[in-house]
Amino acid sequence: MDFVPGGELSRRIREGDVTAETELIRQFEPGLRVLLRRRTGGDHGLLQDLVQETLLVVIQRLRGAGIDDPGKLAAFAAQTARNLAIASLRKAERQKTDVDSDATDRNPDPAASVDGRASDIEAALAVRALLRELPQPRDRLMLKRFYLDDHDKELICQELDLSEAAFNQALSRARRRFRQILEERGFSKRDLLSDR
Amino acid sequence: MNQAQIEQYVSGKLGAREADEFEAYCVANPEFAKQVEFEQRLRDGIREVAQGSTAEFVRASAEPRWKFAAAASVVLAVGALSWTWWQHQSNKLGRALMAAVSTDAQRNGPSLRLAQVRGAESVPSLASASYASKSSDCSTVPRSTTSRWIASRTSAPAR
Repeated sequence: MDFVPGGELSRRIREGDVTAETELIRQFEPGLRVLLRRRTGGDHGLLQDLVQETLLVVIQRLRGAGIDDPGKLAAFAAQTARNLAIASLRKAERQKTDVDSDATDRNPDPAASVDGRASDIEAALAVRALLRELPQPRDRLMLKRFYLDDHDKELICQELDLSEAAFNQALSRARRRFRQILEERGFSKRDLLSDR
Repeated sequence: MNQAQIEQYVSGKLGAREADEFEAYCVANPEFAKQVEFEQRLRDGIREVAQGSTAEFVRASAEPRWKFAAAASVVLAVGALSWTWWQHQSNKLGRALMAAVSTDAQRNGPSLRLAQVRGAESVPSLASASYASKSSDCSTVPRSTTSRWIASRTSAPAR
């Protein structure tokens, strides 16, 4: 896939080039999902809404006033996503204390949420299959310590009497197998990394 | 950016400024962002699995069970083969022994009944008329006839 620099995207969008807007969406969406996934606590509907909202704000800005440093378009988009996530969090906090009938009536996109939930379930099933396949109890324990307990590599290596190279190798093997299992379950590479 | 930074970011161990730079890099590089998202999915999947219980992470290896089954299958197969081979060898040995202790005439001659071989020429003829005319029920054989024959055999001097 060709990479179009932020400066060029900014210029073309400002000039009214619709294909540049499509290109911006293709290029920025995966990164925005990463950033917002971390801030939406597993709420896939909210994640998808915020991604869309961020892209909309960035495109509108580029169509209008533009940004100070077009070379830093990605950083601008990332900051926009963070601001929207914070605003959304504040709003949710307010709704916890005030009874907001509009908010309670509002229907989040159910399709996005269901799809997101389904992809979580698929990931969990793939993890289960992965755990069943791992021959060494030590490897399963290693995954638990690393991903669940958030222990540092050094500590895990010490505890399980592993060299760092052996740890990295086992982890890389587990990742590869996880990807294969997801693909065997019908997830294309695109699906693997998308919430839709 | 490398795998170690992906792991640090996903586990929330990057500092605020480093995380901001990392995120901007992700937004600018979709392929890299996909790697990060994959790592997020693996972590989320593991957390999802662990929500109910972490038993799956700490269970003993499943290996011994299938190893035991495989070992048992091998033992059974070897046992069955050994038994078949032994039967075959026994038959061969039996035939060889018979060949050693019998003459060609005996082997090729008419077969004899066991009673004849043991010299039971004096087997009393049962009361065939009454036996055959009735049924195969043993109770119909006159008891006195067999008793007399048994008595004659047991009182005979030992050879």
